[in-house]
Amino acid sequence: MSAAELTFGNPAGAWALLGLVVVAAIHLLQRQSRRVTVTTRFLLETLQPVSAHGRRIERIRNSLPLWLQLLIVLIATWILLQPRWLAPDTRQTVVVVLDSSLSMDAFREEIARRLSVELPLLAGAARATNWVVIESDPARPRLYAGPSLDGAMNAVEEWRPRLGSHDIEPVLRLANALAGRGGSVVFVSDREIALPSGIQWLGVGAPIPNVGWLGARVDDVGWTALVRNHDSSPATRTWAVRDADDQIGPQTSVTLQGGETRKLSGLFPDQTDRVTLELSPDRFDADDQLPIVRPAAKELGVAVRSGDRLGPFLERLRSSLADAIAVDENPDLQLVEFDVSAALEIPSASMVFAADPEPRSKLLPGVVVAEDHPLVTNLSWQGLLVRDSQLVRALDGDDVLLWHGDRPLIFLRGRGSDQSLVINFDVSQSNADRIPAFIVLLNRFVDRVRAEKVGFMRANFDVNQPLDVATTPDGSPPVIEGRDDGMLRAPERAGFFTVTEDGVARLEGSAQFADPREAEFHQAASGGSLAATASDLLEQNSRPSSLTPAFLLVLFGVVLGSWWAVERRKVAL
Amino acid sequence: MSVWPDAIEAAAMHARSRVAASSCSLPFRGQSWRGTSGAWSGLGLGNSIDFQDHRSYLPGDDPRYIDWSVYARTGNYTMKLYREEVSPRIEIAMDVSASMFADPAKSARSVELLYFCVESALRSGSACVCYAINGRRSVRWPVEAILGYASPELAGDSAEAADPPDISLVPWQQGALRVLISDLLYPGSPERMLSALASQHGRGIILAPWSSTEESPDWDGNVELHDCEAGDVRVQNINPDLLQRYRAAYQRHFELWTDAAQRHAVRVARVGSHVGLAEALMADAFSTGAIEPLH
Repeated sequence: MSAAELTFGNPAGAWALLGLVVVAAIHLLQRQSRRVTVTTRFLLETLQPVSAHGRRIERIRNSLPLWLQLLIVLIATWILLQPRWLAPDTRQTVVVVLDSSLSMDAFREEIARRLSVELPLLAGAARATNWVVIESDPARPRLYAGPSLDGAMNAVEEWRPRLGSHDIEPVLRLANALAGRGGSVVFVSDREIALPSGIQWLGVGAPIPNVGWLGARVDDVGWTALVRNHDSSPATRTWAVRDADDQIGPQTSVTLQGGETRKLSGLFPDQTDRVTLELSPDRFDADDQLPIVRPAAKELGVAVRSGDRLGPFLERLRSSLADAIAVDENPDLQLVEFDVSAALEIPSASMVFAADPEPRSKLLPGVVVAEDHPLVTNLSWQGLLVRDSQLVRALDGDDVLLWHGDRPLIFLRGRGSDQSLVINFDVSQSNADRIPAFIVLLNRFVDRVRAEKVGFMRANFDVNQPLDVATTPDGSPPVIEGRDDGMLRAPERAGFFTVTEDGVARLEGSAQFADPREAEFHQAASGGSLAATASDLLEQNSRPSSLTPAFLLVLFGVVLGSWWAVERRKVAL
Repeated sequence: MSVWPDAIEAAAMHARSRVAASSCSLPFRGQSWRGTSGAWSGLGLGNSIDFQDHRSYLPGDDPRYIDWSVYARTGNYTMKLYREEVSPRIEIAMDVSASMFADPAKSARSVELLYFCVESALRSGSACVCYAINGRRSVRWPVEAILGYASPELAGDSAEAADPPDISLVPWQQGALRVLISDLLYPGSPERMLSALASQHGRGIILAPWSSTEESPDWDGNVELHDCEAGDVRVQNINPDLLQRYRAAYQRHFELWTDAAQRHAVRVARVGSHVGLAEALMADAFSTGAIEPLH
């Protein structure tokens, strides 16, 4: 069994050693000369013919009071240090949780410095410490777990925060579980937040000025971007446009008052689909660059298969669809006028519009009720009037979206890219084309078909935004340039990226800084300390030295001895 | 500023001296004196009852003093001679230099010794003459003035006071009891002073008051030593070694005086000022014979 290890409950007690210097100084310094009237000076003059004034500072004379007083200082220092004995089998787990908020990126160096000072305080509280470093992003793996404090610090130095505002409760519960009984959890953040009891907050931050991009919009003319001064004081920055060939344009100065947001706009250079707006850098650089691509949706080939009744409607519908081209062969989507009486199969990958060759004049009774489905979410069908007509019989596997009484008015048949939307009433015998919900539903379905289509698109995203990229069923997993974790999300840092499948580009995009809350530093602050936690842990894991009372007695005895030695010296003189 | 005590303080000191003089005195017994008629055996022939000598009868001698037992034996007329009875002459010289009054206790002891000697002389019926000496100056100091608590003219003067008291200036009488009250704190050989005390068959006594602060001073470190008689200041760094040597030199100084005094048959008594007068006199003066008990 290994011996208990000595540690100190109050390392600041070492300052008492300065008393050694004080004692030495007192013994070094001569008293100021005093005047005495004497009758026997002639005796001194025979012993020391030459008058000799002593030096102000003289070498230390070896005397009992000197050594006793030095001993007093040493014993008092030892007692003030509060020596404690760590039990040989004490172990603890210290979990350091780093706030993954992007605003922490402005203080990474200070965080490392602060932790290099604070964490060693905890190290002395047990014989063995297991260090665990995690970040509050639940999707990220553990940064470090092991007995080496240096390893933990290396992990801290290499860490980069990536998230916007997020919930930290789950990771704190995990941290508490990892720390276990007798362990401690430290949450490092740039602003003070309410934490559950038992978790120590360590704040590293300060209100710093920041000017950054908020976002951009692209239209046929060009781009329009918003820039904001997040600080309360005016700030001047310069900005420029970097093109796809990495050539940067002229710098333009912009001065923003405190809290001002300004709109800037410009054009895409000729024959280029991407630009980067660059601000002069400041301490928080995540929002200093705004990459923008000219959006391009996947083109849909839409074919119209119409009959006698709905042809014009379907043509109008096709021409209203964005990024849709008219094709006859191999369409991505068919717009089909479906003769209900013909008893044919519903075609796949289609919008099927039922057409009754013998329409009735009676309006369908009852109310229109929508199912809870993304295609009909938040759509109001009030005012929809539909005449009674022959039905396409809904099958068991169909997803009904809209009911009119007990009649399936609109439903989905099939799955995936073969799915069809069935409009189970004669639109020419209704006012559906004037109901916005109906048009929105049709466009939503077209968007779904477009999303399912394997093709190329270009778009702007927020950093870390999930991506919806259609790939071939038997192709390789898509590769996202700028991410190495395989997650189908936009990169975590602003920039351009490409998603490829088997070398074929499926998506070209830009990841833009998206959370302006992370760009505000008014509430950033430093604070907290682990000294109290370390003291509590040390008290928990150690016992005080049983010799302290004996040292107190010895101290008392030495003080008495020193007093006696001084008095005896006076008497001798 | 006068170093001599005022009348009230002097009266108190006189009272203490009187008390001491009731139990001890200057050494008058066992010695032969010259002087006027008194109660002490003189050196010459007189009318006391103490037989001194025989001589042959000469015409005109008083026949009452014929020693008839000698005539019976020898048939010659022989005269008996008897010792004279005289009063001793006491001459007191007091060193009134500043060093005698530098320390309050020592100053009081010095004055008490003077009054002791005067009282002792008066009780014995002796003739008493006093002198005050300061360096090379001396003045006769009437006993009446002493008993009237008047300060001597030279007391505490610093002019020429750095010189030792020159007792050769005192007109010592032959055969007198010469008492010197001085702290003996001056450099140089004691021979001259002792010779003056012992000259012309004088019987010398030195009563030397001293204080403990002279013997064991509390000097430490840098000290400005102001000489009470020379008046100048000497800066000196005192360390324990120097202090130890000083104490040894102090002891040696008085050993020299004691040895030299023995050679001149002068009795030296150091009278400490840290205890009462009678106790201080008994501590050293009795053993040296400078003082004798009265009963």
